[in-house]
Amino acid sequence: MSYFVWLNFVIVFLFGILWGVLELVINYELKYVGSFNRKYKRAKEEHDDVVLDKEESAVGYVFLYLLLNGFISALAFYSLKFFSKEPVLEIDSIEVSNLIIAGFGGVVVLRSSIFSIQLNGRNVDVGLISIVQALLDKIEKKIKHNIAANRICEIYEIMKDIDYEAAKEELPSLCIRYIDGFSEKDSKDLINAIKEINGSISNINKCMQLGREIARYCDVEILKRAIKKLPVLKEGKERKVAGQGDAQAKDEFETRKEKLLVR
Amino acid sequence: MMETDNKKFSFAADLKAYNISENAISLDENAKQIGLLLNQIKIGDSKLAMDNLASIKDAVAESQNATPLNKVNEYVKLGEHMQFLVMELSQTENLKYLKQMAVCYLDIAKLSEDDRVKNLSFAVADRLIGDDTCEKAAKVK
Repeated sequence: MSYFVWLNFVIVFLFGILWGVLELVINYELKYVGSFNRKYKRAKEEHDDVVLDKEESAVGYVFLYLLLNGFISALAFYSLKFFSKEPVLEIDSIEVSNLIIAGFGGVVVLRSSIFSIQLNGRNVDVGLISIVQALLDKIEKKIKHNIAANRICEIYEIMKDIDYEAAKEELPSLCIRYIDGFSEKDSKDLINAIKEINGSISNINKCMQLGREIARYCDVEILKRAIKKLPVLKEGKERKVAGQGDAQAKDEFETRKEKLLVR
Repeated sequence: MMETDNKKFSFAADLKAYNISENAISLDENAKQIGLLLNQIKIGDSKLAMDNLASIKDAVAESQNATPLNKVNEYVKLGEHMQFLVMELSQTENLKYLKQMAVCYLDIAKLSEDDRVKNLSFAVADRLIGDDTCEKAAKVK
């Protein structure tokens, strides 16, 4: 068996892997593939109350997915040689055209379905695509969990000292002033989202939800910097802690009303 | 650049409109109260007071069916005419009703969270509190 046999198989295997990597890079935020990233781990050490029970890692599924891509491409190359009745073990050069055909063929076969069936009201594809889809779903789920976990810590760190009542108007209006693509629809959506943050939930919960909603439209870094430039958002909380906040705000109206209603 | 600014303005306007619509029922009730209290005011033959009174009634009526942002504009009109009315009518018999109107207007200012309405409501209230103080001082003398 010549050295070129291995070389051809390695190349087609890497082609399949590369295709898989490309697909993952395009569709997912790969920095969250691993378990929680460094920032999250630091926050986790500092705040035990915001961690998940176990770390979620998509690395295993990603490896499996990439290996499957590589394997199918290699299998396609083998099949190509086998069905064209060429001896596989006697390859003595890099067969570029066969490698390209096998590489793309493997990718296509892996994402193809033979037929689809109706199951619980939805279409289920029968074929290798179902394996690929199951793996991609797992990866997506893990990545989403990691993103959410990281986001909670990130937003918590930014919003922890903020007074919601002071921030709910000032913070979005400042942040969106620095977003060029902020549309009228975005404005309405953000208002509606802020409307939803109500009820008897705690201040930190409201603040974190507000931070999350704003972060949908602008980078977290903008949010962080906006808060740094608006100390009044924190002062509001400090006033309340000192027991003067609401009373002070109402005073101007109430004292006048009391004076008017006297007698 | 202009387009971006307009879009950003719309956020502030939307937020304000939302605040107003949240308190629309209370705002309308307070405005209606002002309208009812106006009927108790004795204006005598002052043409200026009569005009201001009619304008306040118009503003109250307009505010009832206006959009949130137009409501605030009507409250501003209402406040401005109330200010003139308070200056015009200083008879003791009207003071009671004017004060009640001022209380309602303070509530409107508080609920609408608009600076123009707030400033006007404070001006009206302060004027009436000042009148009261003068009146008391006169009685002591």
